[in-house]
Amino acid sequence: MKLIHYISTRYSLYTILLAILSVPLFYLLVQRIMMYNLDESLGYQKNWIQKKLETGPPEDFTSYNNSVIIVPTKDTVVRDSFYNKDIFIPDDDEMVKHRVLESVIGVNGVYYSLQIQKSMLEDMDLVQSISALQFVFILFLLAGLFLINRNLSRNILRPFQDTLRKLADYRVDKHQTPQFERTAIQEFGELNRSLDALLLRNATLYKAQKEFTENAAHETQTPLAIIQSKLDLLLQTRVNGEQAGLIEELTISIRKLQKLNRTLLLLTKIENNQFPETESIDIKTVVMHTADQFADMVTEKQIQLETGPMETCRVEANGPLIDILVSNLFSNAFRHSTSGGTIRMSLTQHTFTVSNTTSGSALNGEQIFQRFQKQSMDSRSMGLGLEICKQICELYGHQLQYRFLEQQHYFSVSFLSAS
Amino acid sequence: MNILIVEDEPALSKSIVTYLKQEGYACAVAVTASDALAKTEVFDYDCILLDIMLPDGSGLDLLRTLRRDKRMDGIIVVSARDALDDKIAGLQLGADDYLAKPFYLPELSARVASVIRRRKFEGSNELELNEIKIDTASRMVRVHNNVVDLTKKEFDLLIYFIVNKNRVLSKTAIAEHLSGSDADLFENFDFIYAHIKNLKKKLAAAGADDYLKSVYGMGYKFEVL
Repeated sequence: MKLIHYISTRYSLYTILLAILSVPLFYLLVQRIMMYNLDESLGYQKNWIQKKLETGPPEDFTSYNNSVIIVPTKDTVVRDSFYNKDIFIPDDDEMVKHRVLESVIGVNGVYYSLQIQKSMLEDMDLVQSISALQFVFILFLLAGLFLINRNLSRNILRPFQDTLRKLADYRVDKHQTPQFERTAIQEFGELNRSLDALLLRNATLYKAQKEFTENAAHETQTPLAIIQSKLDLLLQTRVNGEQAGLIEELTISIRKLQKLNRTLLLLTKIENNQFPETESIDIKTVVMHTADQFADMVTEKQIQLETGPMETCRVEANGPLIDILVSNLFSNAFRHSTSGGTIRMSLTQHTFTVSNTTSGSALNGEQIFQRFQKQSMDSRSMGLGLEICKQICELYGHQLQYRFLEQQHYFSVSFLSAS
Repeated sequence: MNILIVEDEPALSKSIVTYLKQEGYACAVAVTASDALAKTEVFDYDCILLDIMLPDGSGLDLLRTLRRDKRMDGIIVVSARDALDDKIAGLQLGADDYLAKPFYLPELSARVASVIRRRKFEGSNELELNEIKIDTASRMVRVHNNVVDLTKKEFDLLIYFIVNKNRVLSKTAIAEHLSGSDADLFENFDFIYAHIKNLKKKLAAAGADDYLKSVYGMGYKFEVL
């Protein structure tokens, strides 16, 4: 439920309740005033008749519907009494409520019983009128509320909705701080200012963290270079086979660290959007180049490299990143192929696919693209290669998919907006 | 041969100097960019090893200055940063080669030798070691004037061994020299063994001495007495 509807529903319910309650109140009030006026008016009429009777006989008084009845009486006590009475009115063909003043008056020693009738406003009429009035009032109120709400949502709430939309689209790694619309409403202004501060703080923290990763990765390379150089020198001294074995193991670990650093740096840079330059890239050329690069290694490992259909596929992207994407998918297939296996590459107008035969079973499709998720026992693999592929694909909106079919792992990239 | 090592990390420059001195190079060390500039103004170097991140500025600026002054020193850019950017920038600015930290000293030595060969002799250099004569430009190998037909890998191995003669070369270093940083895609480095065996066989067939020695547990050594 929208906030404005929530508020206005409560307002409306309260107003309707008030309007309904006001019907009997109005009725009682109007009736009281009317009675008072009628009684007053009947009193004046009585006084007037009394005066007239002093100068003329009571037979002179004629009135519509016998509304004034003057009858001589034996009663000698002067009194007034008011009461209500239903009287049939032939013209209306219905009973009409009347206010009646019955009194005894004495004129020149003669006492008369005087009855004056005055038709009253019909109760039903009164209730109906008031109800109708209140109904119209409620109708106008609701219509007004509806129009005001619509206007509010359109105009006053627009900056708020704009803020919501921009927040929904906001991603800290996209490096674009949203500019919120200016607003005259104090609360929205405060909200926007708080959000600005929050986003700025987040962006700064994010940047600091990324820079830290970048610097840490950079700074680690030099000590690694020192360790490596000392090991190289150590190997030239009189070392025995056992010591040389230890040196070799150290060397392999250093290479792993180096590669890890480099990969983390690359990931950070992709996430930091530090590859802004794009060009039109012919994927076929990249694939062929990668196949050439790995040709020797494929031979060394006695792997069959097959190329399937190679159609033309062009994408707009950063050249080095696409090189990395294709070469990482290839490295991945290479690493997980056994000697004598087959790696197959194919390219259609929209999709690049690398598959490799395996003796193993399907990989966990949800985990393979996650950082440091190793699927093999190979200690040289760090599980970052596919993560990089995923990041590159996400950057450009390409789809990276994994399938397992007939003892083969298939990795494919469906290029968005490929031509 | 004079080499200038521009590196602010003394532990690393010391290692490089130790290794290259044993190869017969004369080495000088500069710790800052201004120090390096002052040294290059006084001496000519056959090869400059240039670290990109220096305390008083970028090595790339120094590279730019040297190339603007039409200096012909061979320059190898050494960087701890992400290979992609610096490699492209370094080579575009006229560096002869690029090496990412950490590197193997034998690899560095091979690169230095290669840059010097290209710079000094405009690429047509004969590398000679006793009965083995190598023309690095045409990639021709002769033993006692018999042409030895080597594959690209075997040729690269031979050069690598000769440049690092009398050194123990680990299998990892050799594998990375042959396959670059993708070497770690192999589960083991047995493939080197096949190349070395073939190289040995071809050299022996052409009448060369048996220089290539397997050093148990360590790797290989091209032994020249």
